[in-house]
Amino acid sequence: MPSLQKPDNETSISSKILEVRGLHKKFGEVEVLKNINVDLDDGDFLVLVGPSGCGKSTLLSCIAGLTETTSGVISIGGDDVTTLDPAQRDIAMVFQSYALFPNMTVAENIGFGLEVRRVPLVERKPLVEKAAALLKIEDLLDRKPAHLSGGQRQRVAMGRALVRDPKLFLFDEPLSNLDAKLRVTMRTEIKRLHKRLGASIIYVTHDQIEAMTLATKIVVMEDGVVQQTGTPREIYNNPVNMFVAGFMGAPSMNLMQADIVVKNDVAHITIERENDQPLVLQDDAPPSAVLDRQNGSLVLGIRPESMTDSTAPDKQVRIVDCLLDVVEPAGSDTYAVIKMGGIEAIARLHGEASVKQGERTGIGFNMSRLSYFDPDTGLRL
Amino acid sequence: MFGQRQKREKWFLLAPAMMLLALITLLPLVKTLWLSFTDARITALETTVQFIGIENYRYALTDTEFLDAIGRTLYFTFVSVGLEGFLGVGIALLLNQKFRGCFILRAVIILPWAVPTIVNAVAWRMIYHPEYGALNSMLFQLGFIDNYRSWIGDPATAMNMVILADVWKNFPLIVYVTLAALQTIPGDLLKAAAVEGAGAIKRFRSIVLPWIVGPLLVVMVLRTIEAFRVFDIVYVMTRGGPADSTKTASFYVYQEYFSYLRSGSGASYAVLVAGISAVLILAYYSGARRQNAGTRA
Repeated sequence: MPSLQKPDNETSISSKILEVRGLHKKFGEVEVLKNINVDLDDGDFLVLVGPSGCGKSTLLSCIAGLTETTSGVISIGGDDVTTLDPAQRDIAMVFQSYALFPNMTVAENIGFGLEVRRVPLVERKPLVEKAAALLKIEDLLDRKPAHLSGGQRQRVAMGRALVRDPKLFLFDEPLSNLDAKLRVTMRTEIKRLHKRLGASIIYVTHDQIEAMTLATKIVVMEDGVVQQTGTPREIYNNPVNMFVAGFMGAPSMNLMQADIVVKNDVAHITIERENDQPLVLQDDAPPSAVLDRQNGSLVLGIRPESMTDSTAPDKQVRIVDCLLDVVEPAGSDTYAVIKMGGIEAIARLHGEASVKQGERTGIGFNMSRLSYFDPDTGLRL
Repeated sequence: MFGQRQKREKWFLLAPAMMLLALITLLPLVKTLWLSFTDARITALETTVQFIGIENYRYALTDTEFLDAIGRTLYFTFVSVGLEGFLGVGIALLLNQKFRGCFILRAVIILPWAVPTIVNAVAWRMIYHPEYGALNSMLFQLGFIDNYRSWIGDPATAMNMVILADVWKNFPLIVYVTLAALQTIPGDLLKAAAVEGAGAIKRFRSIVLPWIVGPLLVVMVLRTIEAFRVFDIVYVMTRGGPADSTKTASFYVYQEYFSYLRSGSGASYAVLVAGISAVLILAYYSGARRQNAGTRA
């Protein structure tokens, strides 16, 4: 069983719904979780997000008690549960595959946890019906899972989690097996359900849109390490490093090589462009870390929506003529590819923008939304 | 037009196989049924065969020795298959765990089943040998017995000894079918049950058993049919003795037909044994249909 060794940076266990301190997990010689520290307040919706293989599902499995930790402490509701079985942790889990018991009806599936806890049938039945009503599956209670659609199975899996009223809900990529339209519908329903029940939820996904729309708090992971923890807005607007900046947002942030010269606390930024004159921008209020560097190369980050064809007067916006390499109309928006800073940067223009491939057009760069990163460490400046 | 042509082609293509089947199955079956209503005997001389109606059946159903043989066969069948099922599922659950050497053990466990029945019977006859058998030696050294015993020479123990030999040979089949079924159980189902608070026994009863029951039922019924027809292991180990204590229905039919050369009454015994087997086959079909109906998500 895992040892309760001193976590790397914190040892105290408070009364939060969940606290993970100094968690490490090794499979043989491979360390898949490295010094994980995560908190969850009562009623929070925490989303663990990251690319495949980053360790987010393993972390969820450790929290559920389905995978033993190598070291570190997990507490739920203030109790140290690191060495406890899943059944003793007062949690409920919704699996990616739904994990419905095929030999049981919907009602039996939902009531399984109550049956295990020997709740009498007369008490169990109304609880199951209440959960079913909440998820609008009252008519399906006598059916077997084989006779349900993907969305209905998803609701049953959620019903099984809801009926016991546990301290903590764990969702392991619950929408990834649904088609795109149903995914959006279920996403909205999960959010509505969270608001209505005020439940504490940890939700794993690799879909950053899901993360942004559902979370009250996001934990971005890569290679077994927590890269950043924060609200969706913090993660989106102030990514701590190039990985988070590139991972969150669709299309992702443009990360361009740039040269900078600081004169009188003003940053003069030069970005090389393919088949064009270098782009020169001026940032009147760069962060102090950029001022400290004075001159040199760095990585400039700017989101596609901060490179637009907006004509609204804004003193923060610098309009520069750019050659549009590719134009991609996408209905509500038009994406334009501009080869600059060593990448194919994407600008997000209006859906009705009358621009053509190979044309030059004025692109407005919102200077207040620039991010600067150290090209060596990848960290935000 | 096309449908009719397809129908003709279908029968044309099926005809050779059906003729062969009629020759090797239907013809002997009809002949046996006919014989069962006669007083036919196997003789060197040509004799007249009399049709005697249901006389052979009336006799068979009042023949206490035959009814005893049926009783022994049912005992052999249910004890043998029951033990095979219990052992088979238990060992399959064990082999489904991940531990060092599990792959070697999974390969080795098939060996008893790969041994021919005759070889198995001879080996066990030697193990049970009253003077130099391994069983006596082991039990004596462990202090369970004071004197060497004739395990298959004693009517009280002979049948159970034959059952033990049969179980040893056939339990790997159930292990393999169960193991294959166990390995199709999605891990998430067991994890979900664990999160819901189900312990190992509850998980087995509520998740594992319903999942494997289809394949398990099929193999158990197949084994039941096989066990009910048991002949070879009895023939080699005990020849139905001592004092008829291991004389099973098939062995009884064999004796009636080939030892006493009464082909008429032998055929009626054979038809009755086949009838009981048919009931078991019906159970097999109903089990298979239930499996096909399937409840897996």
